[in-house]
Amino acid sequence: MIRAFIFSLMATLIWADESVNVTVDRRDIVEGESITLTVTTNNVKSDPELQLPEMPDFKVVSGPNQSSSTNVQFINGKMTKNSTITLSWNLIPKRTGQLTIPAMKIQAGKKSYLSTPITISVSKRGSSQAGKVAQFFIEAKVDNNTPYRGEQTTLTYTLYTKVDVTSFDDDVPSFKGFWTEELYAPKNLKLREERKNGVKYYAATIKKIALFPTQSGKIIIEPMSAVIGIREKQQRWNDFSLFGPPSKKYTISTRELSIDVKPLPARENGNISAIVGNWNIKSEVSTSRIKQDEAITFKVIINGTGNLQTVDMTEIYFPNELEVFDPEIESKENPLRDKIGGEKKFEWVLIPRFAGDIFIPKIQLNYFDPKQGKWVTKSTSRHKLNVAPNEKALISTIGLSKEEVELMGEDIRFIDESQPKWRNRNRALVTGTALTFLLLSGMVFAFPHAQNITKQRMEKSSGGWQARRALISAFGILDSAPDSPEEIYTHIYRSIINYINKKNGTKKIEYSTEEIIEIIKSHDGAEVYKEFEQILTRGEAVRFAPVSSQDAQNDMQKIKDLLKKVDHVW
Amino acid sequence: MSGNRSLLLLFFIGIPLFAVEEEISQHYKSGMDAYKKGQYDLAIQEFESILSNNWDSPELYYNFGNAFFRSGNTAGAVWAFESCLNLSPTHSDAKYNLKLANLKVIDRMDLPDPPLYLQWYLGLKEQFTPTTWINITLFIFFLFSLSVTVNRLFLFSLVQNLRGVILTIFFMSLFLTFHSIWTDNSLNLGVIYSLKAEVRSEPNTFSTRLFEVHEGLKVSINQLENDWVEIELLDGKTGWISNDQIRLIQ
Repeated sequence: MIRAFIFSLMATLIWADESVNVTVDRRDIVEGESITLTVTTNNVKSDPELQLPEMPDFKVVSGPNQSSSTNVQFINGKMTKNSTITLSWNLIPKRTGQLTIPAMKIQAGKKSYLSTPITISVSKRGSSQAGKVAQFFIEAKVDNNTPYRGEQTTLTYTLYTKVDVTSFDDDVPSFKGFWTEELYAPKNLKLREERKNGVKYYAATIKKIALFPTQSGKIIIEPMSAVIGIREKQQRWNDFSLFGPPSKKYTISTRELSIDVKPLPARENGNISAIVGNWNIKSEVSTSRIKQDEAITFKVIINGTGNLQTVDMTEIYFPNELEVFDPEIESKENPLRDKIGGEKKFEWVLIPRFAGDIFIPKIQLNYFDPKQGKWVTKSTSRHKLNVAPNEKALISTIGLSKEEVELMGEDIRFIDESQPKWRNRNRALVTGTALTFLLLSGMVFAFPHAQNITKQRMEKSSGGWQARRALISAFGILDSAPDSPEEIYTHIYRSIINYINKKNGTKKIEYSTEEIIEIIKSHDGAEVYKEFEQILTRGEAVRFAPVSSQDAQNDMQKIKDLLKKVDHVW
Repeated sequence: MSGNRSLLLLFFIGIPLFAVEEEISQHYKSGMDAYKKGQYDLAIQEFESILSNNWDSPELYYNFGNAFFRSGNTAGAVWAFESCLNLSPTHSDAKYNLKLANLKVIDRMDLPDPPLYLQWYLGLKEQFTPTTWINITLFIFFLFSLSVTVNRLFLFSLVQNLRGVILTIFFMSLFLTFHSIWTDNSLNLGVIYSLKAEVRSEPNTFSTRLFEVHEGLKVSINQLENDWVEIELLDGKTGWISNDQIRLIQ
């Protein structure tokens, strides 16, 4: 029975149709008010997937906030189930007029939907078109829309309301392009009556901020948004709450502000600084009559209005006669707090190291005065220090040499204005000049040796050629010999002398038989000198003891063979 | 063709060199202008940028020293004038200004004067830098080689006598060169660059504090270890200081 009931219940379970809705809570608003954009999916089993389109006219203050609900109903025995997923965003318009939320593509389950664009009418506050009076809004105002770079401009946020405010939570934008300092930020809002656009409101200053532009040109101050809690009226007599009437939260925002920052003008003498405002400078010394090596204090006090942070006096050049210690810097902000400013005190400890009159020069302060729109230079007065010599100091100079004592009180010599001879710091110790000298020295040393070697080589090469031709030349002489035995022996003698001269590179005309034999001996490996000796002796004797022509011819042939043998080893 | 190639090579080597020289000349000019206007910190900044490009000159160090002196930086002035004299030992203005800068140095340490002959010898050695000494010695060697060659070729008796004199001068110059190079390499000098430096027995902050030195004092550097430097004073005292408290003389 129960099983049958459950079966019948399941059979009659009906899922309602899938749908996706994109809605806004209001289509007609006043500037500064927010709207809630809601995407609702009905009966879609998975979470919807979507990305907000680019909305240049709106600022997303919060979201997406997701909620879901499921509703089951029994109607005539049929169970109907409705599930809803809601995504919502808080949007604030950036400008007035007809603004459009573009179409959105929403992926719900397997289906994809495209919403239609939604037009929102944003009317100017206080305009007749609005047709209604804004109950509450916040406003941002600057006291100067066109400040100079570095000049203070004060930004004030004010809340105007006609209804009870239970809470207020602001979200201050980042002030890009400004150095900021908070002037006023009350813990509890102090309400005052004020008329705005002819309507009476309760107004409260939320914040006051001093802005110092750090760049010139157009700078945008983003809108400030706030979540405001408004007490709702009791609708019915029994709407009783232990904590009082309930309150509803709204998101509101200010308008975007545009500041046109003027650059600081140039100055003819070039004495400019980053200091802007209206300043005074004065200086004082603790005492002007002191002893050498005793400390005094020197103060420079700068006060006025402007950004105190930019005031700097640490780069001051004191005379060399003074030993200077790092200054102590003390800043006092302006107690009035309306215009940022105050007093900055620089205090140096100075010790005069030399006796005599020492002058602390005038100290100049260059700043730009935006009220006058020009650069101003103010300076302190010059201080004369009368420094009496210190006996102890005189004693201490005993450690100095006579020359050093004479140098005391002198000043350094002026800078060298000649063109520097630049030198690479990574250069080697031995330069090109040194290497050139070394090379030249080597060349000069080597010159006579080179000359000798060349000469010898030349001689050797010519001698070698002569020696190689010695045998041919000797044979030539022998071959040209006539038939007479005397002539043959004369040619034999001449050919031998010619051979020896060519081989030795000499030009001797006459050799004795002993000399010839000695020379042949020194080069004879086969001991042929004896045969040479016999032939030469026969040649000497031919005049007295006649030799047959045939014998002479034989001797000539023999000499040829002997010369060949000698030449083989020489 | 090869001539054209050589010209092209010279052009490509020469252009970056000229560009570097122009850049450092610009920094130098800006530094000099700043000095004349009394903007000594700006002048120092410009001169430092030349050094960071690895270029220097005696004139740069001298003017650098003046800018340091005027801005009240005694240590910087001593360092710069010492560096100038290291490159140009005969720079009289740098010597004078260094004496004035040294008057402001708190720690005064003087050794007794060396004997006259040593003073004369050291004076001669410090007339020139090691590089100049090498050049001088090699020039004398070149003269000697000329005399030997002329003598060998022409047998001039005058040259033969001169050869002995040149050889003597050569050996003297050679000795001075070696001494100069040895001094330059073995003796690294530095100037205490912080107002006050605590000298410790070991290269760490936990070791015993031996003594104090003050800005502008010239010291020898014996060795380096990590971020610590072992210094030696003129009177022979040694100890360790952090290497950011000292600046090496160039």
